[in-house]
Amino acid sequence: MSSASLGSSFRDPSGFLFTRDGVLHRQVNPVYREHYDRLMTSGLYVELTDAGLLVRHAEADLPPADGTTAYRIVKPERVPFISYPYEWCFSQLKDAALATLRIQKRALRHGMSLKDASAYNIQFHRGRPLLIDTLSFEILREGEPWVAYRQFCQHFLAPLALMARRDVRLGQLLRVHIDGVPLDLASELLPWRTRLSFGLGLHVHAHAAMQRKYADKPVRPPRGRVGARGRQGFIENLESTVRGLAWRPGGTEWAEYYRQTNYTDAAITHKEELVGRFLDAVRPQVVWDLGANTGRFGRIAADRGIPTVASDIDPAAVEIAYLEARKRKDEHLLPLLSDLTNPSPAQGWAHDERMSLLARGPADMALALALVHHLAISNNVPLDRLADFFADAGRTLAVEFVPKSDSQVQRLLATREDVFPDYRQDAFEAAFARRFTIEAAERVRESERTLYRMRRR
Amino acid sequence: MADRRSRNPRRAAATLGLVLAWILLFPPRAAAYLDPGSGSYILYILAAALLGAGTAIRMQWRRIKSWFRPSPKGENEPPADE
Repeated sequence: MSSASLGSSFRDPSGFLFTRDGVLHRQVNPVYREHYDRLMTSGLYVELTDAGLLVRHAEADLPPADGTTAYRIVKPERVPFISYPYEWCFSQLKDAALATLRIQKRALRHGMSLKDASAYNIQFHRGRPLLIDTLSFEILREGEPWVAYRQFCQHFLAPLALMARRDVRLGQLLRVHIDGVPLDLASELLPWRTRLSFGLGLHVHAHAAMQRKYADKPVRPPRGRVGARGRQGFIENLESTVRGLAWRPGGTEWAEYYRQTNYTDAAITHKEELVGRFLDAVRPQVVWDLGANTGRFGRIAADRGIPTVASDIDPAAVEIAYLEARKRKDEHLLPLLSDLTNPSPAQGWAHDERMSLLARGPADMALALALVHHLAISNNVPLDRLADFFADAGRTLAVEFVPKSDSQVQRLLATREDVFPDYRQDAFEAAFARRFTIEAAERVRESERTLYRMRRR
Repeated sequence: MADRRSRNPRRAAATLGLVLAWILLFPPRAAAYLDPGSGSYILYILAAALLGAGTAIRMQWRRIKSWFRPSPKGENEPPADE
């Protein structure tokens, strides 16, 4: 039996994740025994898993990971796609924050507390935020402050405040600051008037000032200072501060996209029908809809019960897709923010804590609908390089070619010189044939567009 | 009465001494793998005192209001946190 620990799972001495023969397990170290037993016997585990807030696991009768001793080995339910906070839209981060606080409130009622509040411990599973780290709980330290308060503010509150009160694109600071947005930076970037809001004034601005004042000063606050009421009041205030932050998409080019397309009703219906037919021909287990906009075509896969990642560069489009999926209680569509010209890299310690986008693939099928012309013309990516990227992203591909004569391509060329003599259908087919076998090509009705189904060589 | 009053400052000093000794002897447990941050720790203590008092006032206010109102259905259910 071969086992390997995960590169992202090394900070917490309570245990770690490892794979054995390709199956994910979590080791509970002897040091965590008391806390694990309390989680399992206090009723907290049952309450949280029943509420869909904590990942379910089964205890496994297996030897520990190589060279270690274990108290327990558990096998958690597998989440089909791991996403990161810098790939979430505003409401996804907000829902993850509220789920974390809800979990903490329930933990407190059972005499436990979260010992970390990392946004990376939350994953979207069946359309809802889920805590995936079973070892995040500890027996409540009576009288002591919440040890994860700073982390909660850095991972959730500060980026949410920046997105809501300054610019939604500041959510991308999470990609640079892997342990959350430093509070002094958030305090500096937020508009001055946010100091007048009690919640942001306290948890971001005063918090940043206190961190500055006590930086590197060991402080031994007396025990017994924080009572149950204080804890409750604190968590409720954090919750109402998060709830008070809102961002409404609008005004961005892409969120309006479907209202601006040149499709006739017949063309869009035919395109949907073709996507459905391609999906039925391939029967993929996992689909990535790249450049998904508000997820219209990805939903065709999700409606078939296929776990589907619908990624787009525009925060507004992803926000709309998420709100729609949440409203429809869609369990299979995961909208994510992704700039394909600069997709999520491998990062963190030794480049091994957070996976690159492609390392999380390939999908069984990638959809690249109305995408090639944007990457090829707006971003000058040669067609053969596009074919290479899509071959890494999906074992099969549904891809749309939009010719130069199409008004949408004309729009892209309107403000720039046409330096794309190779952007032609025959050159596209030749470039993609290098990496794929073209299995089907269908002209979309009442349009100049062609939809291809391809299989990676 | 006079005797009791004269003993109080001494008792208070002794208590304070004991508390300080307790803090020095038993600093917060270092088992947490996260550094909570000194500033965050102190802010939490101060704010929790304030917000806890707010919670207490709200609870009292709710109790006072309930005297004048018939108890609603499902009062004995656990508090919702959703």
